[in-house]
Amino acid sequence: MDLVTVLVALFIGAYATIALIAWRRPLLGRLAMREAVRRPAQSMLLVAGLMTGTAAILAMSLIVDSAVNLDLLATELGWGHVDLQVTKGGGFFSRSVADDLTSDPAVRSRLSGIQAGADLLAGVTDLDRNMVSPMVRIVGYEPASQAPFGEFTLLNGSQTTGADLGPGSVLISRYAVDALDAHQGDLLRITSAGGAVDVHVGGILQAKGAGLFGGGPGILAIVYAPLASLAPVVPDGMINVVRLSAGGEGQGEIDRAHRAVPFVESVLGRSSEPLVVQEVKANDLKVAGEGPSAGRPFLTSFAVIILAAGTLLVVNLMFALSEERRPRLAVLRALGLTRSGQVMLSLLEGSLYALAAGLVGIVPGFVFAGVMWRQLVVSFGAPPDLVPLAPQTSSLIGAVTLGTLITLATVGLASFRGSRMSIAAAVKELPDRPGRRSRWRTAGIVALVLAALAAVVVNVPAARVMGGTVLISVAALIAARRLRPRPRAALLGLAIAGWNLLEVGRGSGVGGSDFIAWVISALLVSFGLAILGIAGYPLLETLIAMPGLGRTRAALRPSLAYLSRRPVPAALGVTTIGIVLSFLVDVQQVQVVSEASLERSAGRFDIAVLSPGNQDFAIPSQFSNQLTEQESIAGHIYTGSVRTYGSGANNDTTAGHQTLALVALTADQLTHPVFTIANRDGRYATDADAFRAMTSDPSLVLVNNNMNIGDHNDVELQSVSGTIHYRAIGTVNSPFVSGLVGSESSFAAFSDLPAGNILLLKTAPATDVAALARQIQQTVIREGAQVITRQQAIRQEVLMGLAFWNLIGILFTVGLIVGVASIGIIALRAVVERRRAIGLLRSLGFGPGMIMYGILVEALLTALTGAAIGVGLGLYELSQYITASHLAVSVLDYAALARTVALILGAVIVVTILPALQASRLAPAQALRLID
Amino acid sequence: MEKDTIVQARRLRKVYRGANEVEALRGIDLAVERGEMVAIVGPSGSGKTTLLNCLSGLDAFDGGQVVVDGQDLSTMSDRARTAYRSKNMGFVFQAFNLLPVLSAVENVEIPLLLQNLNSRDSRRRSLEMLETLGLAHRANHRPDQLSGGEQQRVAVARALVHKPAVVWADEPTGNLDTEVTQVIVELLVRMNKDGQTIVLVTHNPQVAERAARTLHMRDGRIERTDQGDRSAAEAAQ
Repeated sequence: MDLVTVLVALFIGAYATIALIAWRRPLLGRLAMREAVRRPAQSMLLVAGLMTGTAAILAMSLIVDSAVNLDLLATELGWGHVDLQVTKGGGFFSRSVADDLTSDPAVRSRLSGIQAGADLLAGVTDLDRNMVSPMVRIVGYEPASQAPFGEFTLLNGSQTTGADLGPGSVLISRYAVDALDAHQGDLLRITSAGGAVDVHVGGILQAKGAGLFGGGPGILAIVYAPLASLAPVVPDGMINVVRLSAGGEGQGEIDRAHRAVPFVESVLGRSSEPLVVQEVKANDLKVAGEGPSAGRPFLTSFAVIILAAGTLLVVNLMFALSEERRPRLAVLRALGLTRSGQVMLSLLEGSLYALAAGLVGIVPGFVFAGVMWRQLVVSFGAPPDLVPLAPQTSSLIGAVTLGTLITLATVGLASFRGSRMSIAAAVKELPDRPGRRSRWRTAGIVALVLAALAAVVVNVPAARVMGGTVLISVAALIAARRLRPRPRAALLGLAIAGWNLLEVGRGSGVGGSDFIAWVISALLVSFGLAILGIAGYPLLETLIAMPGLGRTRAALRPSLAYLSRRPVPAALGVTTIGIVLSFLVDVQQVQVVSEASLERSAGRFDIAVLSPGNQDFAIPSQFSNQLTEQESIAGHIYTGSVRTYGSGANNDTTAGHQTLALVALTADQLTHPVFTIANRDGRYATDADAFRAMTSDPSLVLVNNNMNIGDHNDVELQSVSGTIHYRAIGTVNSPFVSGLVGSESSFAAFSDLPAGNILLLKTAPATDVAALARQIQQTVIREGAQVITRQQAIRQEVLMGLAFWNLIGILFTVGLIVGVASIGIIALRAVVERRRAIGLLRSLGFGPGMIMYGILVEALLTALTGAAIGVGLGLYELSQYITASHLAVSVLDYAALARTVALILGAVIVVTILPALQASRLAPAQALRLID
Repeated sequence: MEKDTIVQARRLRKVYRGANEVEALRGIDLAVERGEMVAIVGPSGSGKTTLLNCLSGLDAFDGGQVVVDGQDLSTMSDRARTAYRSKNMGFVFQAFNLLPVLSAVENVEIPLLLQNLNSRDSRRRSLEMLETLGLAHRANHRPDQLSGGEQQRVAVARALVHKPAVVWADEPTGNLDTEVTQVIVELLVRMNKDGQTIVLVTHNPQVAERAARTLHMRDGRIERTDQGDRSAAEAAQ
């Protein structure tokens, strides 16, 4: 039985019970309804607050649920109906292979589509717009055989196989439009190793159907060109891929394709070419299904935080409602309502709010999820249209029922607690005296201790941290008689923070499988520090114990006491702000740190010219006097299966169809290195030693930061001669170089692959680098080469990782909004709870301003403490990230930090000002209920 | 002896405006002498608490004049009344009304802090006051750790610590048992003997009879005035 089924069953059970109560006790039902509509504004505010929590829960459910399928869906849509591919390791082969397959009856009867094609990366220049992109995917196809693979859908909605395109016309993806600023009819020049060809933009595609083919992570700009239009980029009579479709949909299509493989191999075996057939779609789907979605553990863990923030808001609201209703409930109790009757009445009323909030929360939940989803998909390098948000009915139902049940549970808890009221005290709005401890409490504590001990000894990090925290809390409870409250709270906070900091410090979470444990630990560190900070609040009064500040001390005293004498409830509000802000700080600062680190380790070259295809590319001589050094690095573009293996204890394995640059350094470049190495394998004492080793061992390579290959991993590529193994011994320090970097002999097996060239330039002192880059670009644009400065390259590298971080930023901004809203609710609750105390203070001589000041100080202290914890914890987490990512520098954007904190404080004032004003306007006699 | 009037009310009126208008005070005239202990009694709804609220500045009134220790409350703004209350009034309530999150001494200290007294002196005087009332050993206890009688004694300490002109007590023994009532009443009498002016509202005839003068109220008017067991002159000795 899955979770949603359980939730639905509980929901139905709860509301059926409530309906039964209303039917059997119509008076209670009437009273509940009257209370709900008595003050419509208050009820709407309550529903709005509850709705925020429900919307956050719903949005997270939708995101996590959709993210689980993101990899699978992106892969499914990216391959479309291409189930099998015949290739020669990327190299060109005769078109007759496709003809042989088409004419073979065994193959033809098992496949619905066979298409000769091309698949390569090339530089594309929009000659009309003067824009260039060096890495555009060129999908060559045959319109006559396109139908089984699906039609293209143009922006105007019409569909085509491409057969009606004029000669030399191509279709382009919308991302190619963005990359080139291309328009319909524009003249494009496609440049590769084989040469260059000019084509026209015959149509712009929607991201659906065949127009999604090839839309995998990283390559979004695609040109779909009939083969006949691509000579000499694709040599005449030659192709580098045969696409095969088994027809049908889903698993049936994959199974049919699998059964067709032996027959395809039989045909290929008759060819002299070293051709292989791969079940490309099935293989990638398998990888997508086996491995976790890259962001799933992060999202699930972060969802816990947002859920907690939403739940806290709900809890605060319902306890505020319970306090407000207390005197009236006490009167009913005095008239004869039983305890259970009181609980039922509260549940009846609460169920109305819960249901309303659950239903109303659907709309903002979807809106929020839609915004976040778009960001997530972009972070995966996929077009947002490729993978729309996929709301599952089960997610919707699950979130609504969960949000409603949390509210109901809170109402139940609050009403059960409230039913133990002293009627006489409650009628007069006096506080209850503490009751006697029951034996059940002791039994409960013993059971909790045993469970916590068990949790600590099991080898599950999440259980360990929570178990330890529970044991510490129980110890503090036991020490209540021996220690005074403030020192006890301080020790409790210190112990919780310390215990959980051990787990955070292990850094097992950053990118690791224990991320959930890491997030929970960070949450508990925040909680512990919050309690510690709150325990110290009374010291603030001592700090201002100066002559003439008595009134200020008087104004502060109640506020500080309300916070510090009930540290745990106060800590919840602080913790929400703290933990959410800590992650926001990380998001904010990661870009700064990454950029600075890349700048420091970027090497000596200022400009790079990326030229697809032309390995003898040279800079026009007119620029020579502005350059002090030039270094040409050759390479090939590999598209195919990439398998990586973790090294040492971390044996993660990933595989998939990827496009990868293979950068070959000459012997001279290995002897006189062009760049430095980061996170070098410990076996090599210096960079020179590592490069020397690469000279003699072709299996040793360097990787680039942005590739999903960790340094010290093993890598496997597929060539025509078989599987080639590599071992990564470090990360290359250059924003211009990506993929694998090795010696010429490392990539000898891939010499047939499309070639390219990177020309690195060092400018003379005092040269305007940006201006020079623009000038060079103008002269080489028609050759499909792109010129990029070091600054631009660094920015691009940073931006590639930013989409995901921005997603996390959006997520936690919402969390922060929920946290700030909680503080406003707490202030509102304080006004209700402390009405009599406010009246007393006014009678003693507190002016309205002092009352308002007290409420605002409480809220601001909560926010400030949360901000301090958030910034501190965030910077600690950032330091772990810097270490784990082997970044070279540690810099901070202090202005951004200050702005964020100021914004939080401003928001807190905004949400607290009305309750504070309300409190200040309470007339003393009224507030004290001094009436005849 | 020359009378020294500390509280003077002339034609005091208070109207509660709601669904119906209720005239809670219908032109009250009264005077309280310095050092006097005056009890106000009457049935529920007679206006005794309203009278106390208006005389003490806790509530505004709709007509007439109230002068306390030479200050005309009717011409004061809310801010001025608040400031005046903090310096010159002490309050004891039926429901004790101690701040639950502060200890006994912290509660007592508040009126002194409002006078901008330095922290050392305010703490010392508060502890002295608690000692006077036999509660020094409970100074650091919170209200939920004190009995009803102890809480009310702390409230009395708070009312007296800044030596106000007048202490206003609204049903100070209403929530207490007979034994503790006696203790509180003796305390108030003792303070009065020391010269403290006290005006209290009570339902308890045994409490009222300890006052120098008892004002009987009905329907918003003072019906009659009785001299108590203790005259003002006796109370001043």
